[in-house]
Amino acid sequence: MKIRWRKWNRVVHRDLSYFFTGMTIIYALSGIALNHIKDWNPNYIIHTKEIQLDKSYTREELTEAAVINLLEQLGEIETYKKHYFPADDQLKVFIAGGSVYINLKSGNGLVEKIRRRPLFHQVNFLHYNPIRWWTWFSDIFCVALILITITGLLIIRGKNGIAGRGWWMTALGLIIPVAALILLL
Amino acid sequence: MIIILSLRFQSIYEPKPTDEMNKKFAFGFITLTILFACNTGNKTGQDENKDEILEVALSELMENREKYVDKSVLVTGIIDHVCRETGKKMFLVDPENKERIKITVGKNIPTFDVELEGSELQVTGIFQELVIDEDYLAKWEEELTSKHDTMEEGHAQTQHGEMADQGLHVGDMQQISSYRKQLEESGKDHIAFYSIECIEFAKK
Repeated sequence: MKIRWRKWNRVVHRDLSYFFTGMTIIYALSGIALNHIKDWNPNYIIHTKEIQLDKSYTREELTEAAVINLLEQLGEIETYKKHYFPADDQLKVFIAGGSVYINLKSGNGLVEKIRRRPLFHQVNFLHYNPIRWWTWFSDIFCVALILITITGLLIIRGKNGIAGRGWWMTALGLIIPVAALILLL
Repeated sequence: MIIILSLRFQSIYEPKPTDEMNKKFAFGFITLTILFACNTGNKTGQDENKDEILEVALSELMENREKYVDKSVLVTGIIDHVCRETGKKMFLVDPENKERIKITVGKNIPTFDVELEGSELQVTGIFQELVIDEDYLAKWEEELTSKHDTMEEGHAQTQHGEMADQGLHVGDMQQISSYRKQLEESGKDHIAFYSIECIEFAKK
């Protein structure tokens, strides 16, 4: 019996491509994000604002009620979570979605507000393998990517197929990684 | 459910009765995926490490460090800082005595969320010692050179730097020179830092 391998090849290529469309986009987006982790924070949007209190405070003065009152002066109403003193002249207040640092002597401080960056936070979370079964699933995805690539090479016949233009384009695409290995390794 | 939907999908879009190949492929592929997912349950190293968990105050842990190295410990404190860049480490403090310890992700915890900051947590994990000596610093420098891309400030970019980072937000080169100075000042051949590799944590 003649095996219709070209038809199987198309089926494998088509269905794996459909099935892993979402995964490809997830890993591509998180790949871009992680490539540029030095230049931006893909996980969080962080805003900081310098503040200056009208007077200095002592640690003893700053009870929980006084800290809440201080926050209200800074426009942080009902955001208080907890506070502590990293040093005798420093106050750190944890607020919903951020924190406030104050130098008690100088009255200088910083309000940091932080929130998850939509989309990138979620795709990065998945990229970091949150649970063991996800690692297995992403392994399957990687194997599927190899299959999609190989089957893709074999779909087109003729002068634009792997025996013609396809071969040259594939070779061209390999030049950059090979050059990187030669130059950097 | 997925299999039924897949077959249904196939039958709607490819109603040719002779084309059984597509159905077989879709069926086989999805079944394999589900089997993989089901057979790889969360059998983690957690249970192995759950024996003899020593509940200890952070101050006691830091005062008698050598006694607890490589042991399973449970400590309670406030999360002072979570790494914004990677989420792979956070710092737990005892507000009473200012003791602070680095908590790193274990194999079943991908990242820590910044929302944990300010929460009182009970962290269970393995207490670990990191010894930094001249050999460590030399390997770190070598790793940095091989990266072909150095970052002078902001955040450690190497594995050695990530391990040695104590949340100071300085680059690799700055950290290396700081540790080298600390080594010289200590008069010893090494300095040590301590951290807990987190197995699990819970809000108190």
